[in-house]
Amino acid sequence: MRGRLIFGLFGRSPFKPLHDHMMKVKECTSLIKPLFNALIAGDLEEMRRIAQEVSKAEHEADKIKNEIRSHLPKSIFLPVAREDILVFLREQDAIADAAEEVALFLTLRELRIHDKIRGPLMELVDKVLDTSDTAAKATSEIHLLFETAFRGKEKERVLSIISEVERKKWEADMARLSFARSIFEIEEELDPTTIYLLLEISSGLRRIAHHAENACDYLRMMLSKG
Amino acid sequence: MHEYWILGAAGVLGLYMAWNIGANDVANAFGTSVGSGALTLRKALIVAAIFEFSGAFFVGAHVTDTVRKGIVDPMLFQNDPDLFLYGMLSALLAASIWINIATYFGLPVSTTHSIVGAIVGFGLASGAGSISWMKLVHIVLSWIISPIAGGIIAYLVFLAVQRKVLSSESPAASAVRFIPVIALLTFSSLALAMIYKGLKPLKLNLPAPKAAVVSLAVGFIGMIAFYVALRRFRKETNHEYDFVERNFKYLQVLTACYDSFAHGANDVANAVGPVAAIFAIVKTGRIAAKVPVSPIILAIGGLGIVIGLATWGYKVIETIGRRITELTPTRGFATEFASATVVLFCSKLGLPVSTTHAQVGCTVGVGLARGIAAINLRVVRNIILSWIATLPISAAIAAGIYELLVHLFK
Repeated sequence: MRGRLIFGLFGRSPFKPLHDHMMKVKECTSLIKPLFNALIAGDLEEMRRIAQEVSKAEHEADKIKNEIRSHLPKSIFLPVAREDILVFLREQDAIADAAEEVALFLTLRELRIHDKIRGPLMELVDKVLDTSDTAAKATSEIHLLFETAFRGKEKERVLSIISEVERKKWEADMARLSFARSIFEIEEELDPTTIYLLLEISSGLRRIAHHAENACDYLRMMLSKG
Repeated sequence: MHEYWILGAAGVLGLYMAWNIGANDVANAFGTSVGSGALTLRKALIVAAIFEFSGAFFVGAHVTDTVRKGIVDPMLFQNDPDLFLYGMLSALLAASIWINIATYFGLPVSTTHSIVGAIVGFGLASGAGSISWMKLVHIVLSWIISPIAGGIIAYLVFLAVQRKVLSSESPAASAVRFIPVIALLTFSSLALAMIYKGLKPLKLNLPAPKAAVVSLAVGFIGMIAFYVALRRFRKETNHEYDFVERNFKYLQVLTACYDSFAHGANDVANAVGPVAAIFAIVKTGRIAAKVPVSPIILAIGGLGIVIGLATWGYKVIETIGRRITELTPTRGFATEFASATVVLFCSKLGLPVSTTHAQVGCTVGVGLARGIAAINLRVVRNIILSWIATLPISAAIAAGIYELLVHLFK
C-alpha cells in the first residue's frame, strides 16, 4: 500500500548526524586540556585514563561517520553538493584522529616537561583548542543552516565565525613556532628522544587546528554554492 | 433489465476505487500534520473526512464530467448504448485490477492515469474514432505540466518563507505576520473553488465578480482568525526556529485541509466517473448530451473515500506520521499549498491530474530551494516509469475485458 505515498521520496537527512558527529569530535578535543594538565601534574595514571576516553570518543565518531557515508548514495539529491559534505565529514573526522594521536604520543612513555617550555606548550594547547572550539561553533550548527536553507542571517553568522577560525589558526601556528623555539633554546638540557616526542606532539596539535580550519573551509564552500 | 446489473457492478467497483483512494492517498496530505503533532490522529481523521468529502461533493463534478464523457464520446454510441455501458464497466474493472497489481508490487501508480488509460483502451477497442484526441492531449499535457507548475509554486513559496521569515531579523515575529497572508490565500481559493462554477444542482454558481468578493471576504475572516490566534502564542523557548516551526504547524493543518479538499475534488472522478456515465444512461434510457452529474453519485463517491479513510487510511496516516520527520512544517506547508493550488486549478478545468505526482513535483521544488535534506531520486525515477507504463497496460486490460464482455453478451 506504500506505492502511492510520497514519503518514500525522503532519504535520511545527513545534517543531524553531521551535528552529532561534531559533538563527538568536540568530546575528543575537550579532553586534550585535562590531558595536558595531568601531564604537568605528572599523573600518568590519569593521563592513561583520559587517553582511553579520547580513543573511545574517536571510535564513536568513526561509527557516526560511516553511518553518514552509507546513507549518501549518488541517487540522493541534497541541498548542498554531496562531495562537499563528504570532504567536510572527512576533515571533521580528522580532528578527532589528530586528538587521538596527541593522546597516544603523550602516554607512550613518561615525559617530563621542562619548566622553560611549559609556558609555550600550554600556550600552544590553548591556541589550538581555541581554534577547534571556534570551528565547532560554526560546524555544529549545520542543522540550523539547513533549517534556514543555507541562506540569510544564519549563513552570515557562520561565515563570520569561519573568518574568526582562520585568524585563530594563524595564532596557533605562531604559538607552535614559539614552542619549537623554546625547545631548541634549551636543547642541550633535553635528550633527543624527548625532543622528538615533543615535536610529534606539537605536530599532532597542529593537525587538530589544521583540520578544524579545513572543515570550516568546506563548510564555506557549501554556503557559497547555490 | 441487465442495465441495472451493470449499474450495480459499476457501483460496487466505483465504491471499491473510492475506498482505495481514501485508504491510501489521504495520508499524503495529513501524515505530516499528525507527525508534527499539530493534530491527533482522531482529529486528523475527522478533518480529513470533512475536506475530502467537501472537495468531492462541491467540486468533483468537473473532472467527473471529463471522465464520463470527455475522453470517449458517448454520443457515438447512440445506436447501441449497451456497448458504452460495457465499455465503462470494463474501464472501471481494468483500472481496479491494474491498481491492485501495481500496489502488490509496490509501484507508485496513479489512480488517475489508470482510469484514463482504461477508458482510452475501451475507446480504442470500440473504434479509435470514438476518442476525443484533443481532450486526451490536454489531459496528458496536464500530467506533465501539473508537477512542474506545482514545483515552481512550491519553490517560490518556500523561497518567500526563507526570505521573509527564516532569514529575517526576527523570525518569530515575521512568522506571525507571514502566516495570516497565506491563510488569506488558502481560505479565498477554497471559497472560490466552491462558489464559482460550483455544483450546479445546488445553485453554487455565482458570477465571477460576486464570487471574487465573497471569497475575499471569507479569506479575510480566515486571515484575521489566524492573526488573532498566533498573537496569543508567546515565545517560550530561546530557540527562534523552533518557535517558527511551531507556528507553521497551524498553517500546515490548514494547507493539509486545502490539499485534501483538492484531492477529493480531483480524485473522486476516478471512482465515480464511469459510474456517473452508466447512471446517466440507465436513468434516461438513452444517451443524452446534457445531463449534469448527479450530486448523489458525488456524495456516494465522497462517502466511499471517507470509508476508506476510516477503515484503513488512518493506519497509513499513523505509520507515515511516525516516520515523517523530514518534512518540517515550514517545508510541509509549502508543498501542500502548492500541490493543492495546482490540483484544484486543474479540477476546475476538468483535467484529471495525479495528485500524488503534483505532490512529488512540489517536494522536488522545495528541494531545489535547498529546503529538503535528502530526496531519493530513484523513487522519482520509479514514479516516472510507472506513469509511462500505466497508460498502455491499463488500456490493454480494459480493451481485453471489453472484447470479452461484447463477445459474451452481444
